Amino acid sequence: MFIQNIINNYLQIPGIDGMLLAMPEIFIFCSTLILMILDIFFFKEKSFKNTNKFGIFIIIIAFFLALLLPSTGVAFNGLYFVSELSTFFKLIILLSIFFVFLLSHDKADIEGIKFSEFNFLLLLSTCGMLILVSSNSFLTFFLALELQALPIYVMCALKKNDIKSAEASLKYFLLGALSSGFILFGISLIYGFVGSISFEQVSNISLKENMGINFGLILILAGVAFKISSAPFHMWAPDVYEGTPSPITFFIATAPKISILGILVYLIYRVFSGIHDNLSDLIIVLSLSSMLVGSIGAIVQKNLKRLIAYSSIAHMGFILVGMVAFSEKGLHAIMYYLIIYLFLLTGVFAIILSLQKDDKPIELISDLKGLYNDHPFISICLLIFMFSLAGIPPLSGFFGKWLVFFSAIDSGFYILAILGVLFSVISAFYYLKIIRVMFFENSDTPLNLDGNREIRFLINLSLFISVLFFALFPIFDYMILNTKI
Amino acid sequence: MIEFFNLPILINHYLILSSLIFFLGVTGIFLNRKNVISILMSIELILLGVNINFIAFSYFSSDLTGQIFSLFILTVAAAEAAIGLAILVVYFRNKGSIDVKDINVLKG
Repeated sequence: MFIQNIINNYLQIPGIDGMLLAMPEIFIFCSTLILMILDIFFFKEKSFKNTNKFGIFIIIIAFFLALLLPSTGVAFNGLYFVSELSTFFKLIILLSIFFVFLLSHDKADIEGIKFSEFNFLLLLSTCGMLILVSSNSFLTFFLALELQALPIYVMCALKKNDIKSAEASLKYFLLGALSSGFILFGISLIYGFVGSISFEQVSNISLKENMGINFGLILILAGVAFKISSAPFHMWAPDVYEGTPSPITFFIATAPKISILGILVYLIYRVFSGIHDNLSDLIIVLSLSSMLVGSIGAIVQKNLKRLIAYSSIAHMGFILVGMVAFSEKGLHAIMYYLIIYLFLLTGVFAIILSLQKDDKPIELISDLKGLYNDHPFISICLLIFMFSLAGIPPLSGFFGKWLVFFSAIDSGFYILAILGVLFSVISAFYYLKIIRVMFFENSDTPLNLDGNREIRFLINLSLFISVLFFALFPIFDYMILNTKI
Repeated sequence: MIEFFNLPILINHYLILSSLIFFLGVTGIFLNRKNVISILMSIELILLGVNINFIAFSYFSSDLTGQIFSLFILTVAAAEAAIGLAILVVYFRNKGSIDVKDINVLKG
């Protein structure tokens, strides 16, 4: 009775229900601050390992908070909202952060990023991403975007004595800041011409012909395209992917992109749905150019992570096809694609991180020579991931592409779908090139396999998901088809 | 001449000013061939242009949101400048130069 009274008293406080909605973010933020203090006073020698373990723990708790707490509602005077869609994106983001923690657990030493700051920055950036996908006003949107981006710039430069890492960080920072500037200018124009920065009020506009709003829209879209590395705003991606240490590359390739795609979906499907006709041509251009650049640019690459960067540009193009479709089917296709893409990248990066040549992490595609002779199981895993990325049935990547193109055809974008399939065939070429190198070429120096328990778990998990995706389809269907914007 | 100075300043003038500053910043980033510090200055210019925009819109529509937003932009700009300079220090330690033409290790 007494406790009941206390709880009731707490529920009287204005804004407490908003606190409940935002609990995952608040929890991650507060526990990160506590973890920093713990790190200074208690974790003397094992600073990185301990903060990493606590980070995994925090992410797991936040995952269940996001899963179990109320899943719809608006909070903080309409600045923040939680819907089923945003909860879905939060869960995916937390899953990918969980993978980043697992991948970096034992490999931070050899990658030269064994600082406890890595974990703090990762957690703070996660907090920003979670706020980003549930922002309901341009103010929250902008602040969350910066909160997720600023720690990433620092993380890229974490390998302090490496010129590549520093240069990648510098490039990422400069172009990221430029894109934030674009987004801000767009927001200021929309604020001026609509008179409000709240998503709800902006979504009520019916001013299709208004130059100011259209110009602001273009600027926001350009800035967001920068952040998801969609062509023609992709030039930072290959350099940054190559320069940064592999666990951080994996992080950059998944979580921030998922979060920004999450808010882009919300912007396109809800906020700017009234002026979608003006938007769809722009997104078609972004999508087609991404597929073109991603498929053609990757052919000449020699560095493995550069190749993954181009492949991720191409995949962004495929995901944007789902945005062009502008239907519930397209939305669901994007969600499927993100899950599939996350697991595939996890597998590929787990393999890259577990392989070493001359006690150094592998970098070039030619480093994979003789992988089949040295480690048959790993090479077959990589084969399956590559086939899946190329979209060969019955692996998971095929279903992602199939759903996306099907949604485009359903909405009448036949030419876009046909071109998409064409580019998908072109991109199969460089995936097959990797397979040829590891199966049919031999090298003198053997590859060392240094996979610990976590990495083996991740490889097996990704293998399981990508091979048996068609069998797991009903489960994902249940998860995704019930989701509304 | 006196009449020219007595003209009221309308929102168009603020918008033209802010757009000019914004595009000055953008061209500063793309046309700059000297060193990275001036790119950081260009980024500050971009944010300044946005701030002018926000405050002008806020003043002319009698709505406080824009001014609050510009305060947030100021704080974020400060954080961004701090991080940018820190990254630049790390870069300078490794490379010994901050010339734009020397940023060429990563390419392909």
